[in-house]
Amino acid sequence: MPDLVSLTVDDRVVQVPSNTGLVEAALAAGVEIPVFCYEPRLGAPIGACRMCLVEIEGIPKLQAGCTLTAIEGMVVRTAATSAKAADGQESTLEFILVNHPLDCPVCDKGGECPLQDLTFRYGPGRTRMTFPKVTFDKPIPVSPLIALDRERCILCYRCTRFSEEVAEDGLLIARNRGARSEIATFEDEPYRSVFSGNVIELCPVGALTSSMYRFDARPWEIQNVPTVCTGCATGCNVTATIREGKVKRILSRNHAEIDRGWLCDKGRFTYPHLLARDRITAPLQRGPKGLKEVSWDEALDAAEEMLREAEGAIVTALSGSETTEIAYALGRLLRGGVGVHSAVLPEATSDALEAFRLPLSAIAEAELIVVVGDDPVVERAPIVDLWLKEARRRGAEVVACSPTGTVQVAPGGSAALCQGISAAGNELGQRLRNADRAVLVWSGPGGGGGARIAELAHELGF
Amino acid sequence: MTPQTYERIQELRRKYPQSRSAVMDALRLAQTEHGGWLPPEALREVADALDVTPAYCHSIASFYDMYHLEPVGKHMVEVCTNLSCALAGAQAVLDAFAHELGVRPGETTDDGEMTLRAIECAGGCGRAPVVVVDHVYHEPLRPEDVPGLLQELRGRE
Amino acid sequence: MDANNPILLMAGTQEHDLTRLDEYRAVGGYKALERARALEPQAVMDEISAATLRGRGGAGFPMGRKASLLAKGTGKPTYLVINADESEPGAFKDRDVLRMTPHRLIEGCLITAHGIGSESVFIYIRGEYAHEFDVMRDALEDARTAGLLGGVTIVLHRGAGAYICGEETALLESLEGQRGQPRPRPPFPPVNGLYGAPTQINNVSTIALVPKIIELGAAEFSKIGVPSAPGTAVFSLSGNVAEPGNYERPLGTPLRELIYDVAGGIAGGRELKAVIPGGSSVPVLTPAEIDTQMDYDSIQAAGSFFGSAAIIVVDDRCCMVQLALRAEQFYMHESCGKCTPCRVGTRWLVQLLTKIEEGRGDRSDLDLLEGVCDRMLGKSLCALGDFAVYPVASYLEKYRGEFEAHVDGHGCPFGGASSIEGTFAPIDQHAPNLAETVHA
Repeated sequence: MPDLVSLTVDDRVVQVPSNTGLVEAALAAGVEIPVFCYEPRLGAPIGACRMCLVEIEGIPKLQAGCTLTAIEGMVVRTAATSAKAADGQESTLEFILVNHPLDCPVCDKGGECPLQDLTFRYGPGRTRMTFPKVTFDKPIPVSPLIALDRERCILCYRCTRFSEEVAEDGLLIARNRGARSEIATFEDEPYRSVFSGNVIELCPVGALTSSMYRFDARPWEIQNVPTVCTGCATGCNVTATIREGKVKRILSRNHAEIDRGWLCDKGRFTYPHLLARDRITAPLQRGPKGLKEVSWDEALDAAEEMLREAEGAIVTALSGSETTEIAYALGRLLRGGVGVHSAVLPEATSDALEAFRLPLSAIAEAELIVVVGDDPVVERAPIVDLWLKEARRRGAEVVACSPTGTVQVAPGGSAALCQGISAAGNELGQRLRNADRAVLVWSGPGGGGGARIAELAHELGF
Repeated sequence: MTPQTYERIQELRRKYPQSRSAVMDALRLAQTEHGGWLPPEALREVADALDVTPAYCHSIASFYDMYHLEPVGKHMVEVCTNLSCALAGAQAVLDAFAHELGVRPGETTDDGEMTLRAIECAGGCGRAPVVVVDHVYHEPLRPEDVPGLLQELRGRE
Repeated sequence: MDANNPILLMAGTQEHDLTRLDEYRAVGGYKALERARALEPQAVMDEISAATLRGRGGAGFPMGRKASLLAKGTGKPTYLVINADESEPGAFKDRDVLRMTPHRLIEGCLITAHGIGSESVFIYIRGEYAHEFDVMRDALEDARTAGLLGGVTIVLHRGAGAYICGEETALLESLEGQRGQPRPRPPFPPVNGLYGAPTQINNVSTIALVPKIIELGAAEFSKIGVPSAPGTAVFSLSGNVAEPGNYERPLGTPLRELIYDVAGGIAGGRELKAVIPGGSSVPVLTPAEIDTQMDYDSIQAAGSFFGSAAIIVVDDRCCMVQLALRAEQFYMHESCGKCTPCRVGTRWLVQLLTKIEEGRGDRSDLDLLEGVCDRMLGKSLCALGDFAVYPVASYLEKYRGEFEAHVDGHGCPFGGASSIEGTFAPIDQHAPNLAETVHA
């Protein structure tokens, strides 16, 4: 149980665990400290944008709240109760708006824009800037998927920090210095990264936007529907943006244990397949003249009739990309409705795994991670690759045993490797036994649906 | 990049607890090899030698005044025009160079020999005006000294 | 040592070539190191603390106190970093230390390293000081060959032209191979500095004074200067004085004495108009305000800062609006761009000053100038944001008449005859011109 500290924010007393950042501590007290560059998932706060300027009793200068941690007895005043802090925050907005163009009517971020929201709440309301603003050609294609409207950029560096510190691709960078600073790629080459689309959501303004979504919808005519991505086994939580019955966009829906708010580009950008011409969008029933489109009612009635007639002689084949909820509902329907008690998956899932299940987020807490399997994690379950990178950044060791890993294993050799690791005298096995927090990952086909890994875990005394 | 330079960069990487610290020297070496500036090719070479991305190298190189990402002349003539030098008449010196060379500050002569530019405080304020030619300080340098200096520079070839 | 004019930092440089190890030894060089190494590390730091050695880099923070903040028992090495990135307009004192008495700096590094338990020293030297780098490199080699380093590695790291890298945490970032942008503080370098390890970072001249403190002892050292700031400082005098240059004098020497007695007064028989006592980044003083002593506390009471002790003297031929513009162009050029107020504010101030200087401003622009300064002051990530404000705000406050003359008279009252008329700034070389004030 972590120590609690008590602090006062805008005259409200609140208790939070002792290492809590001030932004979160204020939130716990029901107080907003506005931010742009602050994003805990991007590493240590950088205190760049100065939006979070607050007054701390005992310190004459305004402080960047996002860089501070809650300390016992701290007295914090935000714009709500401090004229100085309000002036500081208004100053930041005035400076940001000095060059920010009035693009709102044509900007995709409009209506979902932190800059708009904070300007309403804390901004100056009038401009004093009469000089020419800096303009650029627009949009600049950062990649086929991402458009950059450079004059909108407020240089919060969230995108470059994502590239450097999370995806670790080092492709999206800041160049030049001072007022000349800009976000760019090398030689304007496209930003090619499995995770590039995340910068669109990270960008607090309409500088980095989705090319596919450009000018496609306005915020008042869309619904955001929570759902789950089925692109891989991970099942990242997403939000589907719907306009007139069509999916226009996929956004993340931060699940702290699965995806942490990140998506891979496949999950984010392949929704157009939903509108593919040859996609079946209505039920089709086979008749004497071939497949004929029928209504949902007709189709469901016919299906029910056929299932009941089968009297249990039914084989159920799942694709494997059902969400847990859908699979459960299907199971109930089949068991209770027509007495079917088994289903077939493309790959088996071993029950032995149940004893060792961990959420994906446990990878980041581990000190030693062993990955076995033929397929690179970044291809098989991309988000897991981000968890592995996070673990490495926190000091964990990741041992990849695969055809391309640090421990070279021939394709198909993972099962034998697992047996080898659990054998007495195996160095890696010994280290796994001694580690406080170790994680095993199977990435690839085969393995008996996890049976091999569960066996190994059992042998190692997990 | 010559093998010697590549090796030198590996040495530099080992000199620091973290190898990225070698990037500034690595860029300087590559710049010298590429005729005084850093074309994209040079940035790729440095990236390769340091096991980093060219984008990162570009990010670093573009931050500092002494790395040139556009071609420069064989000789670099830099005239300080900060406060103390300005008070000592630096503009007249800059004008003299511009006149002699037939270029504006920031430009290179057509024959690719000389680049002229104004710079911020070079740390020679006590002997202003300060002019730095190919990293050598000339302090003080007066407008009347300019033709002679250029002649000497040209004569060096 | 001449008690009337004690020379500590530059001692022996007039009479000898102290770049040579043998000559440095001949004047007693490296004896202090020997003495220090025979002492317990804490005793060395106690002596430095007792001497109240205040940082000569600009902030004047006591070196001993800084070292006492070094985190212990972290399991990480302790680093010593020397800030030789001297780039403050008007300052050129560290340059003389590097090129004329490099061994005194090396000795200071080794004594300090012993005192703080460090085996790794990094000297970050500004890229433009190519000759000084060569001198330091050769001197280091001589020291190494002579077996003086004693297991301490000293790495000479070259900068590449960025004033902001003189800011402590920006220097550390640059040294680590990142863009030279400051870090938020806390944490401070003594706790989390270079490569995340406890780091003591000090200016060249501060460290180069350490051998003399050990040689003389804190008590003798403290007899020089003033109680709040013992010892000597090298004052860099430049601008419109008859004899500009570096002059080492005890702290507390009157500013008027430095300008008129030491540096020969105003050149060419002109009148004094303004003095910027600590490098361009500090508030200006009018002739009526120069009767102050040059030490940290006195000059602060007089309304400015000691800074780098870089005294820029301005005579009556200079337009103060043009000077403000030229100064602000420097800050705009050097702003690292990380934080909003400095990145945007420096440019806006340049645009406003350009408009005013060119006679296209009105009285409300003067109010706006003040307003932008207020919005920048105390809000940026590092001191550069404040330094960018002091020239403009102080010239506007103390020479407001000249600003008003520009707007009321639709042009510079000097009519083109100002001593810095038409001075071209480096930012004017970039395309497109970000300081453009006229709509296309």
